[in-house]
This record gives sequence, structure tokens and C-alpha cells, in this order.
Amino acid sequence: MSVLQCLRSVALSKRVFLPQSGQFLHGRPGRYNAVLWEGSRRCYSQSSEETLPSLPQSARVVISGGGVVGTSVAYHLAKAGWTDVVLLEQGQLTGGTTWHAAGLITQARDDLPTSKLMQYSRKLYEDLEADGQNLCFKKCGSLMLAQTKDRMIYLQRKSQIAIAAGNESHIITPQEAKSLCPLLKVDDLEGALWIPGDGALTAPDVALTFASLAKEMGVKIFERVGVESVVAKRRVVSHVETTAGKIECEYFVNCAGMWAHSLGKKSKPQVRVPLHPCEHFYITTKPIEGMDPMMPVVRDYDGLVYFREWSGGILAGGFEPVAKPAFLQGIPNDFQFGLLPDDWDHFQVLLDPILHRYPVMETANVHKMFNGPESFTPDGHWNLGAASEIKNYYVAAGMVSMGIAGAGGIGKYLTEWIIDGMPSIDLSSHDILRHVPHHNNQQFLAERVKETLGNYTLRYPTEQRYRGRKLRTSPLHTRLEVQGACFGETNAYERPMWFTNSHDDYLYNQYNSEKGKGTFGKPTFFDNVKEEYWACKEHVCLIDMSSFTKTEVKSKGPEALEFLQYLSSNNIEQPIGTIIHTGMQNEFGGYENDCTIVPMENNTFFMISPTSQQTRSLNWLRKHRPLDGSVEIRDVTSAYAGINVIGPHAPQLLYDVSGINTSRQEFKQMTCKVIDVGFASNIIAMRLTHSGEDGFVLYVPSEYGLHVYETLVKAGKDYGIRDAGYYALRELRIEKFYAYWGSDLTTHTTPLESGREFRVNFEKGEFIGRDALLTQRENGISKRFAQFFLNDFDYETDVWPWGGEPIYRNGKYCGTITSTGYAHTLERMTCLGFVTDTDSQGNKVLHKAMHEFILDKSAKYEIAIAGKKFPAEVNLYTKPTVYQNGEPVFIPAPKR
Amino acid sequence: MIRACAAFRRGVSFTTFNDARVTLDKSQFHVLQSCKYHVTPKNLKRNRSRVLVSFKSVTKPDLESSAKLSPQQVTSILELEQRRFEIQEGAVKSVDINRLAANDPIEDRDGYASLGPSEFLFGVYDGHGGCGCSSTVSERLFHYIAISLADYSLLEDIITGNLGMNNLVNWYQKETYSERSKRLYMRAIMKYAQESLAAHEPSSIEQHLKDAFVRLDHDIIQEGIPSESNKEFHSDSLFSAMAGSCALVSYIDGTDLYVANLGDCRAVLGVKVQESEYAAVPLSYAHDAHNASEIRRILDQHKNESTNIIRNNRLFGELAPLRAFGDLRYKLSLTEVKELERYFNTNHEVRGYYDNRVVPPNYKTPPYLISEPEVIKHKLTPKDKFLVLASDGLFDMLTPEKVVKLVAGHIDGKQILIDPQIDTNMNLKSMNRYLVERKTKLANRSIDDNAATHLIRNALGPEHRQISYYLSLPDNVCRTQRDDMTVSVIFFDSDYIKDKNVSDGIIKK
Repeated sequence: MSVLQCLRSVALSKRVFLPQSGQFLHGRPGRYNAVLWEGSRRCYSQSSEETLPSLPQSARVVISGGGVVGTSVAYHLAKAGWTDVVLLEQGQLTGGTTWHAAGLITQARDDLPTSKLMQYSRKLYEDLEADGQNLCFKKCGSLMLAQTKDRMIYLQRKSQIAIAAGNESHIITPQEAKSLCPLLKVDDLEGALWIPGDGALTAPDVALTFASLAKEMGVKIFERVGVESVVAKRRVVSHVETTAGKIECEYFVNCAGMWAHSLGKKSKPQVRVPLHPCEHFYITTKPIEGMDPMMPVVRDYDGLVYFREWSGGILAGGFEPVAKPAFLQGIPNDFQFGLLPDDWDHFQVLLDPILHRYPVMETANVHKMFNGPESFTPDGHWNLGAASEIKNYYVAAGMVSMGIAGAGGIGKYLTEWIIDGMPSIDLSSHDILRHVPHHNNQQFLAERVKETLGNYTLRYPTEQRYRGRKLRTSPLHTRLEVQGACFGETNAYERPMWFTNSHDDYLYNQYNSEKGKGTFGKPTFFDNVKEEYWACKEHVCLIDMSSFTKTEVKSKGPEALEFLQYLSSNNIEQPIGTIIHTGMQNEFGGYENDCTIVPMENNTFFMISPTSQQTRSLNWLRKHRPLDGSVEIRDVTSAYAGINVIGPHAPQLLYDVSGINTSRQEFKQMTCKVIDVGFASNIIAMRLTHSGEDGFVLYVPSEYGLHVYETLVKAGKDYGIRDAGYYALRELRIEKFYAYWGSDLTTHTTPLESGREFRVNFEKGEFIGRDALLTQRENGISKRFAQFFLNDFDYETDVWPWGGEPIYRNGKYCGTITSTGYAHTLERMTCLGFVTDTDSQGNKVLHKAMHEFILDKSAKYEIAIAGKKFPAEVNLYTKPTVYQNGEPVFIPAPKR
Repeated sequence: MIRACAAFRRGVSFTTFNDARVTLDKSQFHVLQSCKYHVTPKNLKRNRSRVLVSFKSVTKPDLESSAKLSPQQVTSILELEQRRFEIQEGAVKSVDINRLAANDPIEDRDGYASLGPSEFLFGVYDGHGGCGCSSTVSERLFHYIAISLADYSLLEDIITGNLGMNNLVNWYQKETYSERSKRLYMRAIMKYAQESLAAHEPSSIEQHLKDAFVRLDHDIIQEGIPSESNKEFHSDSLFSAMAGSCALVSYIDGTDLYVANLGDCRAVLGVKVQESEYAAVPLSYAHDAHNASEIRRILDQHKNESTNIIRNNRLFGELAPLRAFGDLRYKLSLTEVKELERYFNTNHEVRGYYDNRVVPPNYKTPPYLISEPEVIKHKLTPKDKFLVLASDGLFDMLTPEKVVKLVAGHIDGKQILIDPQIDTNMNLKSMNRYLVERKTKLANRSIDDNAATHLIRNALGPEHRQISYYLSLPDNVCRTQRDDMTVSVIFFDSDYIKDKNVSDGIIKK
């Protein structure tokens, strides 16, 4: 008997909780005694156990997964008028993870779009409850506790985002927390965050309500029908093979929860859904005398535990520091309404803080331990959106313990995604396209989710994950490590963030799990980065840029050029060796990619995109490539190392090692040459840097990478050459008001809004997004990218901005900070972000001269950082003083 | 097993050997490959000089270099000789034993036997100058103890031949003797039995144990002297008597525990003071230069020789234990030793093996070495959970306290393998307390099921590369880094002890 069978038989013999017994909701009198499992509400299925259901021949959308997410998507699709929808559930509705979810509903998240999504969910549940649907939703509010000063900063940041999202939120004292929840022990608390609108509900009821409402609107739901494969023709969803036959469909939505990973593999090509189930534990107590059914939901973040009232007792669970991945050998399909074996030894780390916070629980008796598997992703964000492998294949899975609270909003925005091609809010942090192939590696996932389950653990702004690291490394990695590089991971690529001489820093940064050195204020590496910054400004530095996504696009004839012209908003038809910065817009004008394209010889184009763009940029190219196969697209990221030679001495140094003339006349800015460096040949040298300094980026065939690096280091000795990391680059570019894809530019921002109209060529002919951009040019824009310098800000003692901070214009919320950095030349704390003008109803106000609105002398800007508002000076054009050579090459001020 | 160990070690380069600042003569280097158990003159010579080598380890394990052995290899080497005797009789529940060789062949011996339903003998013997003496002692000592302890009727049975040598002692492990030894041993035992019967007088158990030790040593020496009167003389007997052995024997009768110690092995009792807390109670005193009363005893016996006898923490700068079986060079009179030296120089069979060094320098008032053990009596209580008997090879690496802690942790860890017993009637506070206790026990959980193996692993490591280092040392350096280790852990049956003490009226119910 395999381990798995063993586990299953254990589960079936004694652990499986039988819903019919009513044990699940045992002992709850009155209102909360849900009729969950009684006959009247169990009639969603159109199948019976004996005979196979007769599935429709075709449907517009097939959804796989009858949990809270799948049913919400079905409900929202139907509500949007798409009623030709079939939902397939391999077992019974809610039988996977939904049925054992704790049902905590909160709206306060760490970023604005997710908060908005959660806010929608909560409102929807409240409305459904008011409509007479029985979700057992109670608006009892939620308390988030802080034991430390740093946690208070975290809560204040959270509170600000909640306020910006329009949620009522209060920072309160421990005593106030005690009066809201008298059972709490509060004498060790710093304070708390109180969100009165939050609440709790009975999780499976949500899914069953969605299912029932969807069915009323015409959605067909089939239980005990499993998906055997999703068939694509020419990489477009064609039909679904199920255990009960075949259904033709236009769209397929994978909402299979923890099975989503393996379901993704049941198609050709396979769809990557990186997630892994972990064991998640909570206990319920027997009724405790005097329990208030409206006790707030309590999250003791520093204790890693949460609490809610449950059937007259307390439900308490948590997110332990090192989680237990579940089902390492695969998840049995028939794991329905199943629980994993109790593991009290593992739960003990949570029992200490539970009893500490709720002393009343010490004398309570346990009713049951629930150990249910829940899905976690490599970065703790959901997997949402359109898969890159197959067109019209959508995913909503990997709920990281926030499935119930998120399901309503996820259904709404995924529906928009399916119908409109894009959700109306920026969900890029949850977009499934953020993953690269290795993220789907099961061993990696099992290792990483041990860490990502711990979503209560305090994470500082620049903190890195420490499990599942050191996977993709550049050819220079080991050398840089010896030089004292502290690495950060983007898409599993290890990039040097900064360099240190201190052994302690080095150890701390070597994928070490030790906490305690993080801060929300001036980072420990400030002085190191400052040195690197000035070395880039005054001498010459080497920055390893090997992680950048490199793509080769070519064709026999002019097809590649035509193809790129159609995708790019800038004009690609330029002489060979010209470097073209261009965006690739979607039909709404938003950035799908912001890249550098170089026409090389013979209809070949070399394209550089940000590291985080590897999957998305390729996906965008492949999605639009001519079906006749005339254009060849190759991901050559691994083929080249990237070395940025940056600083005023860079031209002389490059001359020394290559012998080519690097004068400004001979090797012009924004041009590219294929040169030899040292003994190495065929190096693509581009005269540009991504931060506006003079310099070159050398794309070196990987095997020459180390040679070129060492040649430069040796030759650069007398120029004061040194290594620099990404933090130095970030401070250089933020000071110069450069926007980066991923942090500033998103699918929801256009070149006009980000001040990059000069990179759009309307004259060259048709390209994707042209109409949208023309409309914007005609009618004006309602938001604009701006630079802010903080006043009265002491970078030594104040809490720093790290992105996500709300911007206030004349006291009114007008946007969010996207990137931040300290400007060493200007000696100012600098933030970049978008300013939006909205009327009192929240509708966008269009401006033909948005810069006038922003630069209005009477406008006062403030940035709210952890509960404190700092006055800020706004700016729309790069300050000339930040250029050493006084010759701005980016965002020039308009000629007057 | 030695062969297997040697096979692992043979692949090892000798670079470490160069680093080890040890003076080893060339002849040793060449006999490395020989791997025989029984004593040969060849082995004897090598082992004799080992006694003279400084035992202190001179090189530290180089943990920077990678482990030569895989974790599986380490475990298989450590487990080669491990055994468990499930006794479940009298005060003894079970005995975990193991040993690990440093000498080739190993010079340690051990013995486990019962004399009756609740009477047990457990012995650990640490030989030196070869394994001749220790193997002789391990084969014979229990018979001598049995006779010494025997009552009148038993002695008669022995003499009349109703009770053979094989039935006198019930070995837990199989013992085989060569025909010659069997003959020799039998004759000696009969003689001892007859003399005991003749002079039979009841005495204390302590005295009986001492008598048995002294008598055996006397017989070994007499058999070893090549004289006219010794008709049965064989060179094996000489080599046994020339070599030496420490001995540590524990005799358990009901709940009476006696530990007779001769030399530098040690016995330590693990006493459970309270939940998860154990005290280490030593039940022996090592007879070595660190034992002040031992030094005083010797110096009192040999006045005015203080500058000569103990040098470099050794007897005559040669022998570490200050009491031992065998080692006739320190026991015979000066004339006899000189005679012996002449024998070595003239007899071609043994010629050259001891050169001119049979007579220790400054050999004035022999004997210098005694074979009377120190006996400690202890009445077992239900708090006494286990007894560890081990040769100094283990205690060189671990303190008695650490040994007790490790075995206690091993017991806890073993108990903890089962799932937690969660009683839902327990309130959460007591449940948490129970889980916290389990947590410390879980942390102690050993990878070795056998407690003796657990001790040896921790003595060498427990870090894998360190154990690998110790286990993969070349033969010639190995002995300078660690000694033979023999470990036996005797687990007591607290319920039996309690009941017995109650029925004996020692403690009240």
C-alpha cells in the first residue's frame, strides 16, 4: 500500500468528517446553525450518482472546480450576461478546500487593488445576506494586533491603504482593543488596527449561494464530473474531455483549487499553475460560557494566529513559521470533504500564542482540530488571469488562505478579464503571467510554500524569500558573491542588489532565514548604496544585468519588422544598430511591455525586456505572431550575460579593452555595435544605460561573460572600477524620473499618462492601442505620472516610503506611490507615482493639459507614510541638475 | 566486522598520517593489512609498542574537508556490532551493547550472562598489549565468579561433574573455546572449585567477587610462566599473561547491584530524579593516574620510589591503568622477570619480541600491579533506570553526565515515536504543557534504535563529517585519535524493582 493510499484510507476510515452527521456545525443554536447539508440546498447538481449526467454538447465557458472561486466566477459570468456556462465539479461542491475554510472576511490588504477587490467581496456578501441568502455573514469587525513598534508601522501602512480604498479603519490603543474584545490579553500590545466593516461567515454557504444564484440565471452545474483533458487547437481552447463526455467550448477556467496544478498539466501544451497544498491547522473549542457571538475577528500577527467566535466557542488557527507541504505524492481525486491527520506536535508552536492572547482558552476544551490542505503560491499572491500557454484558458487558483475573502472580487474581475480582455483594476501582482517555467517545479514549490504559508510573518520592504533560492544565476554569480554581493530574487533570477564588506551583512543575505535586521526606515545598506551611486556618477561601475529578458525576433522577409511595428507604439523602422525604446500597448493603450528593440542585420531584431517580464512579453509576442509561421521568436535570455558599464569613465574603459572608438561622435547614444572585448567576440554593445548615466550595456554570449567581466575589472583598476547593484541603479533612475515596467508602468497606464508620448509614433501607421492613445490625445487624460520630493523628511529617523503610499492633493486622495528612492545628488527623498483627478462621485476627470492641473501652484501635495503626512514638491520633468553632463536624454522639458 | 571497517579505511590516503606528529615505527606500517583475531607474535609485537605510543590525540578533525563516508556507510559501520538482549527477567529489562574498534584487532571484550533467574553478570574488558589477556579474562572470569559465589551443593555438583563448564554460566552470546583452552580452563576451574569447597566459608559478595578476580589473575600468570613445573605451557598463555586487561563486571542479584572494577573502565548509573531529569551516579572509580587515592595506595606500598613509579601519568611511564589482569612483568619478582627476559632472548619462538625490555626500569619492590577489584554495592531503587558500562574509549570522549543525558534522551525519544495521546477532556492549557514536553523529547529522538550505538555516535560526532573523519582514519593513526569503545547499557525494570523492594520490606507500598 502506498503512502498515499494509506493516507487516504486513514482519511476515509476515521478522519473524514461526514457532513451528513452535522458534526461540522454541531452545537450552534439559532441563526448560525446553517442548513448547509440538508436536502433542500443540495440540489445543485444535475447529475445523479447512478447514471452519468448528459452534458451539453457545447458551452461558451467551461469552469472546472466547484469551490468558492469556481462558483463565484460562474455567478459573475452569468450576471454579466454570459449564461452559456457549464461548471464541472469532480466530487461535490465545496468538497475540496472551501468546506473547511475558517470564513474570515477582511478588506485590509497590503496594496490598493487587492483591498478594492476584497472590499467588493465583503460588500457582495453583505448584500447577499441582506437579500435573504443565508451566508451566516456577521459584520463583527476585525482587530489586527501589534506587539512591536515595527508591526505598528505595518498596521499604519495597512490602515492608510484601507482609508485610500474607502474602508473605515482606525488605529487604536490596546485599551480600546480590550473594550472591543474583553477576552483579549492586551498588556503586551503596542496598539491595534480596527476595521469595523470586516466580519466572518460560514464559508461553504458562500459557494452554495453563488451556485444556486448562478443556476437560477442559467448556468449548468454538474457534480461528479472530472476534467480529463483540455484540448487546444492552434493554442486556442477547443473542447474539454470529461469523465462524462466532451464539451466544445470557447473558454476554459481552471478554478480547481489545489488540483489546479495537476489539471494544468492535463492539456497540451501544459498550462503552468504554480501552487502547492500545505497543511493548515485550526482548532475549535467547545462552547465557552459568556462568549459574545459578535466577538471581532482577531489577528495577532506577531503571534501568527487568528481567532473568531465559533458555535459558542472560539476558532483559533495560525500560520506557523515553517509549514508542512501536503500531498507530496499528488492529491487523490477523491479527497472530498477530507481532512488530513491531526498533527498536534506541529500545531504546538501556535498553541502557545493562542493561549497567551486568549487566557480564557486555557480552561476550554478542544472540540476538534481541523487540518485541511490549502493552496499556496511561490510568492503568496493568487494565480489569476489568462494562461500564457493556451489562448482563452483562464486560471483562478492558489488562494493562499484568502479564498473566501477574495472569491467575490476574484469572480468579478476574472469575469472582466474574460469578457473585456483585462480587469478594470490592476491585478498584476496576482497575474499568473508573473511566473516563469521553473515556478511550476514541484520540488521547488514544496520547498517555497513552507515559507509562503507564513503570511502573518512580518516582512520588511527589501526582505527576500529565503527558501527555494539560488536557482537561476548569471555566469558572474560566484564571482560577485565573492565580492560581497547581496542578492535579491526576481523571477528566481539572483541579482546583486548591493555589495558589502561586512561578513555579517553577507551572512544575513546569503538566503538566511534570520530575522531582526529589517527596518521600515533607512535601510542598513544605505551607505553602501550611496558609495555605489557616487561611483556610478563619478567613476565607472559594473552592474550584472544578465537577468534581463532577451528575445530574438526574426524572419526571412520583412515580416518581423511588420510584426514588431504592429505591436510597438514607437517606430521600429530604423537603421541597423539603432536602439529604440518602445512600449507595446494593449488595445486600451496600457503597457503590455516596455522594451528596447535593436534592428540587427537580416531582418533580425534583438529585444530587451525587464526581468519580471519574461513570460508576459513572450506571451504578448506569441499571442500576436502571424499564424503562417513566418516570424520566429526565440527567448535567448540564457544565451547572453548582461554587463552594464556605467559612469563617466565607461567610454575610455571600453576603448581600452576593445580598441573601438567610443567617442560620442563615433559611437552615438542609443546605438549598438557588435564588438570584441578582450579575447571574446560577438558582443552586442549598446550605448545606453537604464538610469540615464553615460555608459554601455554589453550583451555577452554567456560563456564569455566571466572573461569580459574580468577583463573590464583588470583594465578598470586605475579608473576606480567597482561593482554596483540594483539599488544604486534604482536610486539613479528614480532621481532622473525614469519609469520601470512592473513598478510604475502597468497594463493600466498609457504612454500619455506616464509622460512618454514622445515615444509614440502615430504617423507610422496602425499598431495595437493606437486608437486608444489617439482618443486620449484628443480627449485628454485623467492621470499623470509625477515625481515628488518630500519636504520635512528626515531620512535618518523617519519611516521611509516603500511604494503603495497614498498621495493627497489638497487633502484629497489622488493616487498611489509606485517607486521610491533617495536622490543623492538632490539630497531629497524621492517618490514616483500617479496623480488622478476624480470628481466627488469618484469619476475620472479628463484634462487636456494634465500637467497644468498637476503643477497648479495652489495645489498642495502630501504623501502619507505610516500614519504621518509629509508635504511634497511635485515635478514632471527630469531636473537638469541630476545629469553630470547637463545633456538630458530622457523626458525633455517642452520647448517654450 | 573488523574486516569491513578496514575495508572502508583502506581506501583512505595517508596524508593525515604525515600530519599526525606520532612516532610509529616502520614495522607497524607494514603489518597494517593483517586482520586476524587470535594473538600471533606478529600482532603482539605491534600491539606492545602501541602501549608505548602517546595516546593523546594530536590532530583535530579537519571538518573543512568533506566526509569520506556517506551517512549510510557511517550508520552501517556503527551498527555492525550492535546487539540487544531482551531479558525481561528480574531487574533487567534489556541490554543494548555495541563496540567499535580502534585497534586492529579490537582489544576490548565483553560478556553477558545469567547465573540464575534474577542473577546477572555483565562485563566489559579493555585489553592492552594485544587482545590475548582481555579475551582470556572475558572467557573465564564469569566461571570464577560463579564458583566463588557458589554454595556448598553447587560446588559439589561441579566437582562431581554434574554441572559442566558450559552449564555453570548461561551466556547470552555464544562463546567458543579452542580445545586447548577448554582443557586448560576446565582443569583450572575444577581446581578452584575443589579448593573453594575445602575452604568453604560464607563471606560477603564483595569478597567473593574480589576472590574470583584475584584467583583468575593468579591462574593466568601461573599458566603463562614458562617453567619446568608448568607442564601445560604454551606460548599463547605467555602472551596472554604478558598482555593485560582492565575489567568491569556488574553482578545483579535481585535488586542488589555490585560493580567490581579493575582498571579504567567505568560504570555510571542513570537515576531519574524527576520528569525528564536524570542524575549520573558513578559506580566505579577509574584506577588511573587521575585517581588520587590510587596513587597514594601505590606510593604507600612502594615507599621512596615516588619519582620512578608514576611517570607521564603511567605506571613506569608505560601502563595507563594502575590495576589490571595480566601484565606479569609488573607482578613477578625481579628474579622471575629476569628469568622471563632470558627466556625471550633464548627461545627462538618468541625471540626478539621483547628485546631487552622485559624488566621494567627501576624494578625494585614488585609487585607493582594488583588484580584486586574495587567493589561498590548499590541497592537498586525504582528511580534507577539504566546502568552504562563502558571502556575508557567512550569516557575519553564523553563525560559520565553527558552519557546519562544521552541515554535519558534516547529513552524519551524512543517513547515519543508514537502519536501524541490527545484527550479531548484535557483543557487546552494542560494539553499545551503536554505538547511542550513532547517537543523536547522529540528533539532528543535518535536515529539509532540501540542506546549503545547512540552513545558511540555521539562520542564520535554527532556531526556527520566528524564521525566520518573518525571512522575513516588510516589504521596506523586511528589508535592515536580514539580508543576501542565497548558500551553496554543495561535497562532496569522499575516495576520489578519496586515490587521486589516492597516484598523485601525495603520500601512501603
